[in-house]
Amino acid sequence: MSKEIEKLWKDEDYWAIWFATAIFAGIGTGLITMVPKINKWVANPVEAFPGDLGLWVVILGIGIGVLLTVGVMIMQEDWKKFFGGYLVVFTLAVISYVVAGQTTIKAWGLGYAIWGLSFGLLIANTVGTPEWILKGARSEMFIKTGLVLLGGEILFSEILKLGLPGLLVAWVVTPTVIIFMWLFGTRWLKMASKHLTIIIAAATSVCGVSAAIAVSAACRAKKSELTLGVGMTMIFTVLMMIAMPPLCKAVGMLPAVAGGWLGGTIDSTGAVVAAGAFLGPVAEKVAAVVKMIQNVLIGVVAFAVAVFWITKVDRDPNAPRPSLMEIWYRFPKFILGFAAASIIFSFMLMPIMGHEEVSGILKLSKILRGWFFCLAFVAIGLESNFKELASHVVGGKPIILYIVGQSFNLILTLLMSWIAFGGILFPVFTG
Amino acid sequence: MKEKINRWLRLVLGLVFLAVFIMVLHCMSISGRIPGSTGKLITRNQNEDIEVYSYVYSEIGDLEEFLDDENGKYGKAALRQSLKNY
Repeated sequence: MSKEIEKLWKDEDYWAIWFATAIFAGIGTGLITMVPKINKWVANPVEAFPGDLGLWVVILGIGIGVLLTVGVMIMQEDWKKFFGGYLVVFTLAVISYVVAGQTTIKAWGLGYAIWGLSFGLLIANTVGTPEWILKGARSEMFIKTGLVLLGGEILFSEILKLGLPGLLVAWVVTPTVIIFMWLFGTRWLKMASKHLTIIIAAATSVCGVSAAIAVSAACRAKKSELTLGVGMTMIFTVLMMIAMPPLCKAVGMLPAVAGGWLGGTIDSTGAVVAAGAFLGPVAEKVAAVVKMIQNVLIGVVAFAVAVFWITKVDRDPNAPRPSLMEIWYRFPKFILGFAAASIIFSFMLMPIMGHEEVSGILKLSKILRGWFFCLAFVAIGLESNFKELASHVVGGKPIILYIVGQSFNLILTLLMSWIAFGGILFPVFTG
Repeated sequence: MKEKINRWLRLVLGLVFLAVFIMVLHCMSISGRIPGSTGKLITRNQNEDIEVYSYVYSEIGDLEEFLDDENGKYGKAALRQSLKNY
């Protein structure tokens, strides 16, 4: 038991919760009043830093670094080496954000995640990542902290205000597709990596990158598996964002049905809104709302995957069923932080502080969460190598899983969207 | 030594490739050379600053009101006003 208590200050899972709590507290008490966000630019990257934004970015980098270094220090690890490596990772994260802020790149839906991964992979697979930089590339620490911050954004209380049509599309299809893809990947394709199977299933059915990150952390997947899952998702997201709206237009689909279809199938929120907007305000609104409802499922899915992994996948078939204590010991604790953040924001802070004030906190925590995820993708890239990535793709099974799963998702979501928004079960939504 | 030079050369080539990729996308977009619906979609995304819209959308708490409202608090004019804060 004393070992379990010691983990409170020695385990990265708990530290993710403490870091996020410190950030929420800092914003809530007015200590953090702004978080810099890199501006968009057209031809001159300097436009990305108007006024004194550059200075604020430096302050942010040092601020996050100091916060994390305190944790590393208390975990009794080499904090000096961590801080040195972290500064390089942060610099690469800034470059990734700047590239992603270019208007054309943004319009194509190529966000910071793909650039962070690309720059990291490029360095790791050419000159090689120096050992001292790897000390600061703590991808899991960045991911877990970002996920607890993300928990605050998942407001369960808002679900109560949603209409049934959106819930029908988002919540019936998502679990069905995950189960279908899991069974297809493990039983039919017999994929070597169960971790990769569940990452691709979650990314396809829930909300792309965030879901892939949450689930990979919940089942403790390898970084190369997460990299592959995220890379595939991002490429297909761009393709779907470009191909689906013209298809909807060509077949004369009702805007609300098209919105439901786009919102339920395209993986990133930005791409969903971009694709929906192409079909007009009704499709744009329905698409955005369906996506938002679907995003709520990230925590539920991550929680379920963590329990499923402990009780089924990682379990020795000859061993007795794990006790509740055993499940507790092995459960990734930051998932509890994620759930707690969501519950506290939804059912305590929202009624007490009101929507405006909570929104103010989330506006800043959301930007910080983006920075943590960006740091994570740079770090993952710096730690990965192409050979390991290629070994997962041999035989093309992950791509087959994605294509078959996404096709099933497209058909089922279209059916549900037609039932929900096409005037079958409910009146047609016209805006 | 030769191996070291090779590695650095690969890094430079990788960076050049990424830079060329970005330049090609950018030049194609601003010159309007992307054909058909894809071109329209990309131009629209550029003009409408869609990423910021999605950011503002994700801030919205009262979804019922959001769905019913086009010209009011969540209408395009109001969203454009909010964009000025980002």
